[in-house]
Amino acid sequence: MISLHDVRTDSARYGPLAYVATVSSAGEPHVAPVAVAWFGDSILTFVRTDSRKVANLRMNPRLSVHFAVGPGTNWDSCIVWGNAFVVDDDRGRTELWDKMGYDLSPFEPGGPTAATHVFLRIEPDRATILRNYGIAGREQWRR
Amino acid sequence: MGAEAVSLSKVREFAAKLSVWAHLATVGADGEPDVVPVHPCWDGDVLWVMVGTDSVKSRNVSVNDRVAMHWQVTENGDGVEVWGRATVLADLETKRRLWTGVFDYDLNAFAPGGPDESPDTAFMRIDVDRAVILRMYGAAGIERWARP
Repeated sequence: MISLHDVRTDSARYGPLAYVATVSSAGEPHVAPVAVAWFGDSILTFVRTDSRKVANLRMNPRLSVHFAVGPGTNWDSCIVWGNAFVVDDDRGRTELWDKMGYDLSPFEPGGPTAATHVFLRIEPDRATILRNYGIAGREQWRR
Repeated sequence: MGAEAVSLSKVREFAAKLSVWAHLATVGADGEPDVVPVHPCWDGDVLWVMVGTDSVKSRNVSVNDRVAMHWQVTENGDGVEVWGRATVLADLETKRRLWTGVFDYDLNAFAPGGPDESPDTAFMRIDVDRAVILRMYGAAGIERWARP
């Protein structure tokens, strides 16, 4: 059993890009690439308000995050499950505006009060690290 | 920006230029999503993925056959997402047919027993019913295909 701190540390190896899976009210999955950043024990991402993932999460807050895989990390995987909260109010967006680690202005020229983007604040409740697809081992964390 | 309609063959061609890796999303009986990396291969208009018979994705599609898959994006953000219905096949005839000539990597590296002596190995068949090509995460264009 590993700690959430271990998951955070490991996830940094894969870079800022991850693939998030959500589920529609009809039970259909959706998966999309997003830039992610840790904020304390939460994972943040900044996405369009009218995106399918936001619509899905408003109906079902469960989400799975898979950090990008590649030869540089020996095809290890870091997968995190949790509940996502849609931060769509001016105060929340303003608080998180400078927490992503990159400049959000080119993506949202209207700044933190623009309603066309929201943050997703993901509260992890379990995670798995697969070493070389799991062939070389598997580590798990659960809240 | 509006989306243009494309053919499935164009989706296949575009996906072939991307990473060999894709992220496959399935849904559990409790409605929870799961996403894992896979190395899919096309066989005509059908996508195949080598899977473990007891993997989460195999168990998930036994209760909800809807899947989504997003190829790992390029450096400039080009990607493809497809949606479809999946079935897991573990019969010997299917395994023997797929073991050589369909996948672009050596399946024996993951299942040394080959098709006849790898009882924990199966294949997920994905019948695609719609797809989207995203250029630069969609900022430089979106093209869609849906099964008529």
